[in-house]
Amino acid sequence: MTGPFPKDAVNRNAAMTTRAFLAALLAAPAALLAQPSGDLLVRADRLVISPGNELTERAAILVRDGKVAFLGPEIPAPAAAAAREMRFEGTIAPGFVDPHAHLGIAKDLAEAIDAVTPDLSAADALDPFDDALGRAARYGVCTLALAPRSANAFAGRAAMVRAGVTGTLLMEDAYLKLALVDESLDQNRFPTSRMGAVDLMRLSFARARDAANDDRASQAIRRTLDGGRLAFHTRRHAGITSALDLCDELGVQPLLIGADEAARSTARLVRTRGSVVLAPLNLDSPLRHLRLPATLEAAGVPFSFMTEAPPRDATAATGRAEATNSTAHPEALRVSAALAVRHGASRTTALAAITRVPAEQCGAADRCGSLLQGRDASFVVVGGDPLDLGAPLLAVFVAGKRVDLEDRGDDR
Amino acid sequence: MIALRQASPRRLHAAGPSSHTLRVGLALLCGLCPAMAQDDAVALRGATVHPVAGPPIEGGVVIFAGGKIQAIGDGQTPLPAGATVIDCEGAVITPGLVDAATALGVSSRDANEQGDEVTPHLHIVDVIDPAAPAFRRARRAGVTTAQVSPGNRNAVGGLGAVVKTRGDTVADMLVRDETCLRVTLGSEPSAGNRPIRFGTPATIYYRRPNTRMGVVWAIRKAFYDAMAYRDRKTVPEEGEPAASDAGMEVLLQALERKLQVRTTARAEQDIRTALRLAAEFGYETVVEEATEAWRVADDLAAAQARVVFAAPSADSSTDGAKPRWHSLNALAAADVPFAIATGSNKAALDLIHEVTFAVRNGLDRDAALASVTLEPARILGVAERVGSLEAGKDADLVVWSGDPFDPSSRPTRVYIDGKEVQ
Amino acid sequence: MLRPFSFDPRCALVAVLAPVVGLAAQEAPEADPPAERALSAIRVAVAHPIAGPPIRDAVLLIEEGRLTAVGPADEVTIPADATVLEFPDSHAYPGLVDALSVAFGDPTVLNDKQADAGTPVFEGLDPTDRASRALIDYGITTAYVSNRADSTWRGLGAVLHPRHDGFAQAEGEETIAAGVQVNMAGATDKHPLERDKARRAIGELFATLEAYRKAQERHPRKVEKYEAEFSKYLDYHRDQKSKKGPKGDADKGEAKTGDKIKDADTDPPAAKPPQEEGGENGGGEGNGKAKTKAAPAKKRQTGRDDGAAKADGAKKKDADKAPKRPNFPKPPTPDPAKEALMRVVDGELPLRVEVQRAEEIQAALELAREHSVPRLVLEGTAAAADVEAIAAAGVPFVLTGFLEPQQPPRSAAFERAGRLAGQLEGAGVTVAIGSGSVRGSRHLPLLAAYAAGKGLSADAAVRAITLSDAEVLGVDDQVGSLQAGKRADVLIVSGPLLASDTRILAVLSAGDIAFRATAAGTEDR
Repeated sequence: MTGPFPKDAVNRNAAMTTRAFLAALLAAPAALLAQPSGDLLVRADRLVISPGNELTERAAILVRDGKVAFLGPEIPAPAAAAAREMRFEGTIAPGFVDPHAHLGIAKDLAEAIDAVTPDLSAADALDPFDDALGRAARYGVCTLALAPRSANAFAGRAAMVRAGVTGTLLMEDAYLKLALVDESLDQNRFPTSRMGAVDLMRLSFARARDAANDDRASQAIRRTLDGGRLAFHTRRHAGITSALDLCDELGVQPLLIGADEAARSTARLVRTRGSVVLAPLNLDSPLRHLRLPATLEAAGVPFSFMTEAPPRDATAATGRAEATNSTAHPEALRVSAALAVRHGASRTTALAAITRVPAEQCGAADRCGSLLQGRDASFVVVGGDPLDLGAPLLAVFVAGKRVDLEDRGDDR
Repeated sequence: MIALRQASPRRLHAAGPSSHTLRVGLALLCGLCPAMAQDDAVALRGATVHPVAGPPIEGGVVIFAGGKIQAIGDGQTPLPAGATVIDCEGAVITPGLVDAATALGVSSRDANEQGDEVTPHLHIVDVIDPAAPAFRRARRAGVTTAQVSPGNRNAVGGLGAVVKTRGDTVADMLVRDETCLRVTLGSEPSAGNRPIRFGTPATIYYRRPNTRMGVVWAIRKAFYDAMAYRDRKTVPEEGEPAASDAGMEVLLQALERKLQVRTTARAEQDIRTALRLAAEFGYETVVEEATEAWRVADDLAAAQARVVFAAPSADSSTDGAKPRWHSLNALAAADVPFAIATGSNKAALDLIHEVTFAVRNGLDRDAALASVTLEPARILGVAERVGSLEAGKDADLVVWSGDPFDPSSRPTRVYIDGKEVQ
Repeated sequence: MLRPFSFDPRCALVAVLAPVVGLAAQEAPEADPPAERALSAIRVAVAHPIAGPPIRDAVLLIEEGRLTAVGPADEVTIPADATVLEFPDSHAYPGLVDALSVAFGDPTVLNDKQADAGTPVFEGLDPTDRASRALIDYGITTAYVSNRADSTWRGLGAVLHPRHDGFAQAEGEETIAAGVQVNMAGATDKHPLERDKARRAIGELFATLEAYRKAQERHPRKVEKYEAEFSKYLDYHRDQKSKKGPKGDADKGEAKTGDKIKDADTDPPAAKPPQEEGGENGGGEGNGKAKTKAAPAKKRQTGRDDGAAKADGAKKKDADKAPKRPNFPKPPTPDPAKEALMRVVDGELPLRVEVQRAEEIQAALELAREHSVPRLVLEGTAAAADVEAIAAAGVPFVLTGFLEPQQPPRSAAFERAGRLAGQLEGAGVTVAIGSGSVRGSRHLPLLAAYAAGKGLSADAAVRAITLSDAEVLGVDDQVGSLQAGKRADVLIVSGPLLASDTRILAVLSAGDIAFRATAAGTEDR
């Protein structure tokens, strides 16, 4: 954990340790009984190492210490012999990655009073025992970015979290989230317009660039500009244009969250090597949303899906965006990818949209999103192609531990 | 261009002038090198040409290449070899229209910052949507250049910009940023605000101003704050000078007459207030909307103010101001320079129809045409590029099927920077 | 006969005269002239008749909008004059049937809370709805539309065939009345007791049916009695007239009396002279009709009329000579709601009950048992269900709305609902799938695939969007499978129906090519 504010980090560590200790206390006996030899060998008919790179013969994965130790034909015989073996008829694919989630704590992620809060970290709100984390794992979402809500111009930093009955914080600086949506403008303070918000962002960036400013906000922004990632939550074309303009000025790669109208900016996105996080697709999505993935694929813009759907026209109904709880369901990732395929996207790209691409967007490609050696052994086993909804989810492993897929009724 | 965004990183829009320079250079190059000029040279022949900068030419010729006008002349003008010649017999060619007051490509939500009453440093260019349908409609109706301003829900709203009505990005469209500072008088800035009577304010709208008087107070306070800021900046009483404040810097530019103040004023009292404030602080102002200008034409002339008159055809009174059909005649009689614009009135017609309305009510035809071409270009400070048909200016022109002031005429071709628009 | 529903009367006329020509001719300019298309053959790599095992290298013969033969290429000979459509490497399925849809439904109709059991949703359908018209492009050739209001009674559902120009009505009467919709689920925010009260009200309405039916059956008998008495009365007076006739002007008197009897019933008879029985008999002889009618009038009467009859009888004994003018029996108030429910009880229409909770399923089954509803259909997401009880009752289940991964308060329900399909299949319950929305209807195969992923077998999943639906809707003699004699609704796709990357190549509705993928893209609409 490389927090900028050591004191906070220590405090949080202390809190986390207590909870982790409790969790360990509960989980330890089971783990000891289940895995006496330590290594785990999972065999299947097919192994997707990363989208487009797969084994169809001798598909196997050796898990050691929660990491991918060996793959397929490369598994040394002695190690394979010593490991506990599991065999499935189906496909092993990387665990799904959700690049933007609020889990069950959306209310705790909307710190709306101040418009510029880049020094807030969603990690500080993480509840490792959040039911939503367990549910995510049960649906194959093994890693997710817990992001602040879009209540501010600078909403704060997202954190990568490993799902499971007990969540684990993987890294703190997935990206710095900025918001150019109605929710961020309806907070009874400056800015209430996009004009004001863009100006505020520009001034804040300028202030942060001046090393003389050492307030926390400037520090946090400065650190992001020095190799971090910026994510803009914006839906409409006009907002996307503003976000891309800002990214151009700052010289950073654009990452757009929830950009429903990205189809009109594909050329700019390709030129700036930008990528998009799409709102989940569902049966009632309009055709232009359903076809957006195929459009982006054809244009060469990487995209991913998130589980968090935008609070649709919440402002229109109530006059202001309310900090309601999340409406997301982890299965939305796989359903969205299947719908994208149904509407013209290729299977490879659609699978990448819920594995490799979100991992890259969150700067966690070395941890998740693919099953290369050394990555987390977080994967799903599906009785068929992962993008066919008709293929049942047979098993989910998070960091080498098998997830109980039965709903224990703990997720209401 | 004034650099009002000192504290900002290099803006994308800063590419505006340089690309402009590039275009001019290209045009010059084309002029010097006829072989190159032939590639994209277009000659419009046979139409009645209204250059605005000079007398109309019957059966005239307009030649442009590289986005710039190369030559204007009568039927004897030699056409460059290889130029695309378009026969415009019977048509009328005018410069592309310039609309000096619009909200094209911006939503009211985006353009009105309600977090504060005084937001001088906000830039409307940040929120212009180049793909907005309003732009398409405007350019099809012959408007090739438009001033876009922040909304009028703030006493001091922010900085407007002049854009062409076509472009993929705002940078492509931008002619000149920071053309004016928007100041609004009347009841609009205070609309929605509520006086604090009891308890703690629960929303940002519990604030001043609540009245017409209060609006003026807010504007005056802003400029006095700016003057105080200037004093603290230059002569620190003790310790360090004041920290740079983007909003105050903008107001200082206006006080130093480096930035035009665009004052929205409809009713007579508001127009008089606009002139009074300008005299009080010494800034240069253009009065926008000016519905009751017919009452104060002489005062406007005396103050040497210029007017952007909005929507002459509007017949309902807005904010207590009573429209009169002879308003523009009164301004013309008093020799007040004016432009006609569509403005903020939702019922405004296409710009050409607004002018036609004025012509029908007695405005001189030449003055009418100038009021939507060269006059607004001068007011906006972009007359070196647009507003008239002269060699070296941008090739923005409209080919009308007949007399533009005939309601049955329509634009058959519209060119922006030498390219025909769709 | 296909009866299209369209705003354009010309279209309707054309289609009525030549159903096979239909409007596809307008929609697909490249289509062949009608004379040649009357007989066409489709050749596909695999045909899935649903009613039987898949057929490799299959041929489908279509004539006059009907399938005439489905079989392997070496068994079915293609007539020389047939137009042959070749779809190599493709799969043919029956056109999809959406067992619960809101296609063509105007929002005001779909949310009509005032509807009773007999309100036909059909009367409020909007054939101009673009999204619904596009459904045919997604292979939806048959859809059941119902009111979705938050009220208990939702009226009569309709079965229709989406088309680009509106919709065609189903064979028979299904278009107007394909089932009575009842909502037991109620609003989620209602108190359980309130929901219970609403459920009991359903049973109470059923309980009134018997009395309504009796009243209706009785009415013709009362009319007969009335006619008999009235003719008696008429005869008596005619008799009197004929007796008086010689004294006065017979013609005039007859005309007058006739008028009076016809128009003015408040007018008392002009004269009530005492009369012997013989007179009546005499009249009876003259009018055989009256005599025959008189017989049933002596039948035993019940209730109030019984008393009236008795009184009549007493009067007769006292003053037999002057029969009292009878009143026309009041007809029972016709009640469309009860009429519809009587058709349910008679087995003409299914009773479709939306259920979401176990107690509602129980109540629905109980209702059907108590009031002997022969055709009960359950619909809903039903998180928890007594699968065995449903199986024992032999009731089919229309699953709907279970692929909406965005409902946190009911996420538990959503998660279990996915598995319900498999459990129901395991217990032997017929499972059909309905989309419940227009846009969702486009993704019917995805819904089936989702159910398959949660435990429904792949075969049952495909069946659940074709034949099972047709059975539930009572139109399985027309659609739902690729069998000779059925409507030629065919969906031709590039691969197995449930796979995500399967593309729709062509859709035939009643033999017309309603959609055909273009060479460049897979979907051109």
